[in-house]
Amino acid sequence: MKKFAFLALLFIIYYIAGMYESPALMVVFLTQFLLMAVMLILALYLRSHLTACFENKLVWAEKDKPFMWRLRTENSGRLPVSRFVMKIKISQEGSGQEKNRKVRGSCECGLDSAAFEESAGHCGLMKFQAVSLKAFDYLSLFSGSRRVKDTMEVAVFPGRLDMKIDTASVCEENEEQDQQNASIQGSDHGEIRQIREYREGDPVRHIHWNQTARTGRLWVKEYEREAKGSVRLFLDPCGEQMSDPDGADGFYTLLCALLSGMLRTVPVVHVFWKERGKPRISTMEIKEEAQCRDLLFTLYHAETEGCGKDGIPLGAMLLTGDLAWYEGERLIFQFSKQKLAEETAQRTFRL
Amino acid sequence: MKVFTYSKNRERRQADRQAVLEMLSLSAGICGILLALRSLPYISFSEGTVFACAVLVCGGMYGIYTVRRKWALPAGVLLLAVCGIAAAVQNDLFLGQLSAVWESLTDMGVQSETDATFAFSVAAAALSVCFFILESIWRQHWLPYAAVTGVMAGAPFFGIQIGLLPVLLGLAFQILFWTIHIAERRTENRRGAEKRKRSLPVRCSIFMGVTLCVLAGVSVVITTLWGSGLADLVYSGEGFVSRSMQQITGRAETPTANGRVSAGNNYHTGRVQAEVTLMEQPEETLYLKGFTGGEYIGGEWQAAEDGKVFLEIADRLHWESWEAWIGGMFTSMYFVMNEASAESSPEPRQVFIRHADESYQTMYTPYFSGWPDYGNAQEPGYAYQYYEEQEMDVDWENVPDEFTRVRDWYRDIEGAYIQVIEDAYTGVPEDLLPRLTEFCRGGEVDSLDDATLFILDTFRAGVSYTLTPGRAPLNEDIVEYFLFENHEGYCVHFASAATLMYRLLGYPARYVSGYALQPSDFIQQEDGTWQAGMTDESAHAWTEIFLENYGWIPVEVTPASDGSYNTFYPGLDTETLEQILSEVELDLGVSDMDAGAEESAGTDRAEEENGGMQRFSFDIDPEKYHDLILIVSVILAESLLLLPLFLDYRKLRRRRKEECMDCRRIFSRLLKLLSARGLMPGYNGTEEDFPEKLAETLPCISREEAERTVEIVSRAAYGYEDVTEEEDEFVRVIYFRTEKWLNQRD
Repeated sequence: MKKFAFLALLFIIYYIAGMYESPALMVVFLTQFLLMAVMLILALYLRSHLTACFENKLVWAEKDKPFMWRLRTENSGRLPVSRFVMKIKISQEGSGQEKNRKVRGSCECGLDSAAFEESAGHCGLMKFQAVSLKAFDYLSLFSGSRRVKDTMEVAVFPGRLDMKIDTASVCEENEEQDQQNASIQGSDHGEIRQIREYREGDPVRHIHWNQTARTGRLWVKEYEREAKGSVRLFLDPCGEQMSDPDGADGFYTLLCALLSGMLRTVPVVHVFWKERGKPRISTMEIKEEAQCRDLLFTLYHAETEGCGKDGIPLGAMLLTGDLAWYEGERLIFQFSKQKLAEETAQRTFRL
Repeated sequence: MKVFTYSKNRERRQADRQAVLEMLSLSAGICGILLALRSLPYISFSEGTVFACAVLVCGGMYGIYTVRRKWALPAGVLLLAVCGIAAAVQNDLFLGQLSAVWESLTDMGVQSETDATFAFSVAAAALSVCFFILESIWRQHWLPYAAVTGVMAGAPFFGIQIGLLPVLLGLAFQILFWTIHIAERRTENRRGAEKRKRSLPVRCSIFMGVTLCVLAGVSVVITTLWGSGLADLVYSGEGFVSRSMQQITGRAETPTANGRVSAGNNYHTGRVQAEVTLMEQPEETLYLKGFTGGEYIGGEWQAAEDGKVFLEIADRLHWESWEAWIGGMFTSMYFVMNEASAESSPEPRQVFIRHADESYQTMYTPYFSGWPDYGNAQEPGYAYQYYEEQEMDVDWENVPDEFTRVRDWYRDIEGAYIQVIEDAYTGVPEDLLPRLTEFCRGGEVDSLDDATLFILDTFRAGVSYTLTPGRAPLNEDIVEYFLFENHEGYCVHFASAATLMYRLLGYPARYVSGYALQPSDFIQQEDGTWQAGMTDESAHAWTEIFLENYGWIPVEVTPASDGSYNTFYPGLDTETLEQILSEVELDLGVSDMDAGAEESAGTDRAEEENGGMQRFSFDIDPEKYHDLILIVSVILAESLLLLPLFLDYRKLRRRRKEECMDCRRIFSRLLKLLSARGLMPGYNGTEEDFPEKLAETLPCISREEAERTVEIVSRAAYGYEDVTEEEDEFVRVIYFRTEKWLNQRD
């Protein structure tokens, strides 16, 4: 549009120059007309020398808060680029929503980097897909465009919610068990509760060598004592609410709040969930709050499916996609996504 | 204290460089506008004062902007207020000069030169401040861009001959600021640029500046070589549009005759507007009058009001009762007299005219004709009986006896008419045409032939015929512009100029527009008649003068395509005229025409030889460099005036540099400072008792602070751990406190 307006203005000047036989105006017209041609060539030159990609392929962000991401540009030419526009497709995984965004910047010769701000409205994974890159001339009249193929993942985590969970009875029971087992150093640590796949950090002496030899994969023994010193939380991220981005936000927010609340009184929380197409239940051991984001990141990538209340061992807890929190068969609390912040802040949940 | 980092300091240096570039661009833009306005007709101003004012304001504003950015807007507002107060204090002077400028732009009759230095100085200062605020503070380029474009492109409309220097300065202003604004909008959040010496906008602007210089050079060459051809392209384009519009709207087929003296080009469509049929082959050009001009009102002729003339005749002849008859008698008087008086008078000729659009609001009348014959309803159109000029032979004495009474009436009417038109058709608006009036006053004319000779002499020496003379400025009379500036035109310009010149020389004349059909335009038809298509190509304008025994007769003052003049009327000795004109042509150097006309005559001849190349040539006038020298001098003077400010700025920069120094360098400065003041001689900072001695010497520093300072600097010099920014800052605080204390002590 700008170039057409500029061209129209040039032709008005040309008309006046011709009608009034003004050589000075004719020079103005010709200079600007030639300048347009130079700008067209410049735009093509800058386009051919400019490449851009996301500086980080993975960015962590918090819901409803702005986050920064950087675009790395490389200009192999001898002239700086005063303006470029990169068209990016931003999609929220699972929601099917997709929006286009154009980011504008400039870059010097060589490597350059520019930061941009974005905000995420929902928890989950956002995918930034670069579509095209346009380099403009110095008057922004012309642009040269090229296709760009690069993606960046933004993991959006929920905001922090305080949740008071009193696990005194659980802790007392665990302490008794600990005292009994403490005298048996190097023993089997009590009864084996289950055998599970090896995870990084598991003690080597807990490896179930027989099973490992049979299957060719590392298996470890999980003892009853370990289980009692922790809380087991099963996740059932299914239900109608999970198909709604707001519902999913509620689930992930509540999960984070639950974990951080529990970790104040319990050293370890074992989180279990079932993934589609996998025969075994997936699990993760959460010992500190920072691991919550690892868990969520894993969950974002996993295709989870419901495990149901029936498949949950006695004494374990369950968090459903409908924001219902169970301990065994007992419903501890049914949260609502609208009042989640109030419900978690105002109560003390006793287990 | 604010902590400055190296990168911030670098950014500041980049910003300073950009500010210098912006100042130069702004000064170029303002000077470009002023140089363009310098050519305003009848307006002058002291260039030294006005340019100095503009450049000083530009430089001053950017000086403030560089040193204290936050002060720039208040300072700009203050300067605008000062301009307003100055204008208010010198209210009469300012408004008087402004109205003179306005008159120069709009009024055609301005003659006296006005000195508008004060108004231009105030306006230049205010414009500089406004442009500065828009460009550098609000970052809005479109308004100044439009203003500069408006001045450059609008100048020709007001008769301002804009030069090359102002347009190039204006162009530099427009393009450089455009580049700066485009580039700087994208520079936030960038990392790589921090290492650069020059900011991205400056680098882009340098490229654009160099490109602009090269392209301007190329454009000058192209314009000099092919400018005329480029202008012809414009005419071709306009002609195409004009013809298309005429054909689309149907105007192409409508016969038109009016009193408007076109200020633009004349484009023909060639469409037949009327069919003219003659019973016999014509031997002379057939002039068909459509409009007769009486009073000239600047660019337009009012219709001649013969009614008033006839009223006056009735009054003079005491024919009040027969007043309504006079007009009718006069209209056909010469035709009737010729028919009645001549012994061997030929049969009157017959012309039949039929308009293509069948609209007969305007009728086209041949000279020496009788009353029109409207024919019948089956055959639209109208007819006249008429004589050709050579067939006119009125003999007042030789009339039939029964006609003598009518003859006497006719004679009375003619006598009275000649007396009345002495006043009615010799009026010229002299205030509108001061140059033409002055020019004709210098003509020594004793007879009508002399007047004709004077007019043709003027035309031959100064003007040439073209259908595309370009457009005339809005504030100049088209006739004066045609004669004294453009020196090019077509029939309406020649006829208007000739009519006005006849009148100024004291001979009644009228402007006529209509159609002129050459004998060669007529083609014999199967029924023996002769027919011609009346197109806009035969549309014409001419002058008519009044001759006894003939009445109003056409005088052809428009040259033919070969430049020759076929001017003729009864009694004019054409051979003598040709001879005199050829002598006059050799004697152009002493012609009364002004220098511009002489120049033009020379130019036209050169143009013919060079194919019109000279129309777009540039005059290299050393006088024009006067402005450049002036501007450079002003900038130098301003630099000297602003030197104290720059020295203060240097001090400020030194301080900023110190604010960015690391602890070791600032400690070294502290030692130099102490040494320069003769304090703690022999100490170099490594001594064990240095902190103690330092605290003793400088009461502004405690011993703990002195010890910490030495410890930080030692660690920075010899330790394994790096010092933190806070520790650097601590040492800098100690240095500045010491400096302040020492300055206060001195």
